[in-house]
Amino acid sequence: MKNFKGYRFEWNPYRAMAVFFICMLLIFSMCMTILQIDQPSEVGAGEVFEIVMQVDVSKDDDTGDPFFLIVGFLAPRAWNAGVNTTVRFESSVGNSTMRLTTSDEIDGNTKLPWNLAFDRKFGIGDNYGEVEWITFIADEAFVAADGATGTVYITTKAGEDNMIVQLAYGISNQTWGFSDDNFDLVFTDCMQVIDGIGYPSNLCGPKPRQLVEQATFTMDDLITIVFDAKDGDDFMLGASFIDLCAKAYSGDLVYEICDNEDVAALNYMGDDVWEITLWPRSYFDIPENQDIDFMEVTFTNDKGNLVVSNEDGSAFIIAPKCFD
Amino acid sequence: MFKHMKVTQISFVIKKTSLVCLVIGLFLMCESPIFIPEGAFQEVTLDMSGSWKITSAYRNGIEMSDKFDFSGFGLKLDFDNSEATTYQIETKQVPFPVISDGNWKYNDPVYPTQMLLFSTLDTAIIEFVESPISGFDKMRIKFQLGCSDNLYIYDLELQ
Repeated sequence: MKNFKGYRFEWNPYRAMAVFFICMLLIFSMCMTILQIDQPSEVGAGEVFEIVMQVDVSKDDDTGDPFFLIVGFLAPRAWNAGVNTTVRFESSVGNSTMRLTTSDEIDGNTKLPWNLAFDRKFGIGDNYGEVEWITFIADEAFVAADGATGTVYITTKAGEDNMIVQLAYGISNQTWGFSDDNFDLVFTDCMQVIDGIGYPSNLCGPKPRQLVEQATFTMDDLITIVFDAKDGDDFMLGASFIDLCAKAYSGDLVYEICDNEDVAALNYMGDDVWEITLWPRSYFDIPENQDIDFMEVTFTNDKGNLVVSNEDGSAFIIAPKCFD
Repeated sequence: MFKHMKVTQISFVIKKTSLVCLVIGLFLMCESPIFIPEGAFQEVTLDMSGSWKITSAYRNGIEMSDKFDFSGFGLKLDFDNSEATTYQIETKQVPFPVISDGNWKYNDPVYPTQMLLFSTLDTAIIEFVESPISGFDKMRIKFQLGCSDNLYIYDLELQ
């Protein structure tokens, strides 16, 4: 027997076995699909709310082996969703509560713990950061030799901070992991947390300019404000003087230091990077019984005629970012 | 009493009796009055009264003295060996968990690991990096101000 190129086709038992196993995988794996997700587009800060997800498991899995459902949920780190979320499902083949996966429970495909596997495989959507995948595994295994439909109920609690965020939901199973069609994923439209604390951070928007050196801080921390003249508008490149114009918002009160006072001069750190370290409370002379909600800052030259701000002319926002 | 006993038994009794006498004798010999200095068992609280200034400051392990002026800071502690005494603070823009005067005390008067500062609005916990010892004029303290990710360490020196 010769193939089309004229070479003799040799019977290779290993090749045949490999083909056989691939065929088996295709036959015995299952097809998991998220049919629909009901998730509010707006929730109040601190509100407990429920997400309902319709799931279909096709009958491709005719092994009849029991398997454990995996559910992934992408949520803001600030929500501490690992603690504040419960998941359960009801299905045509049985109901089960779900618990957080442990670091020993891995996706056989990526060989990573489930939360890292979701992060590696699906990323974080339109969010620029500050979100995390948390993953749940069913307490009860179920058998779906003839396929199944089910409803997954996720109950979670919004954080106290105002924000816009894109949530995401994924399903898979412990037996097959992220192979073939054994998973599905849906990124929902960006949702909003309202009536909470502070200026809303839009995780769905572009990653904001880095304004503060520390990754996390509140307005009670000693904060270092950084101005990199190379970012965005670069007309301050090579400047010999940069001044901070800042406002602190405390309830209805606004405190402002914006007229080239000596205290507001940034220090040159080299490479067109400037910085100023300040303690907001004393910088704005705010009484002990008041707290600062957030700050607005722009950067000016010594004449005050050049101002670096957002593209639309609005000031940069420095809002507390802390996941305590 | 010895006439019903064998020789070995008699010698055993004698040996035992003399051993007891020896122990009693030694005990009586050693019984001299033990001198306990007055106040030795009294718990002594470390006196750290005085005015303290910052000599160096760190945020998350990074020296901050060249980025921020800590020189205006002054913490004056009063101390009269009572439960809580007063303190006066002059922060002059320097971050500190309390910014107005109040009372303070150790968490444990004998083996202090923390100072507790009570102002009218806040209670602050200041931890000693190393437990202070008698006669000290330097201390290294650590505390948090806002987000728990940020740890501050100040080296203070008695003026």
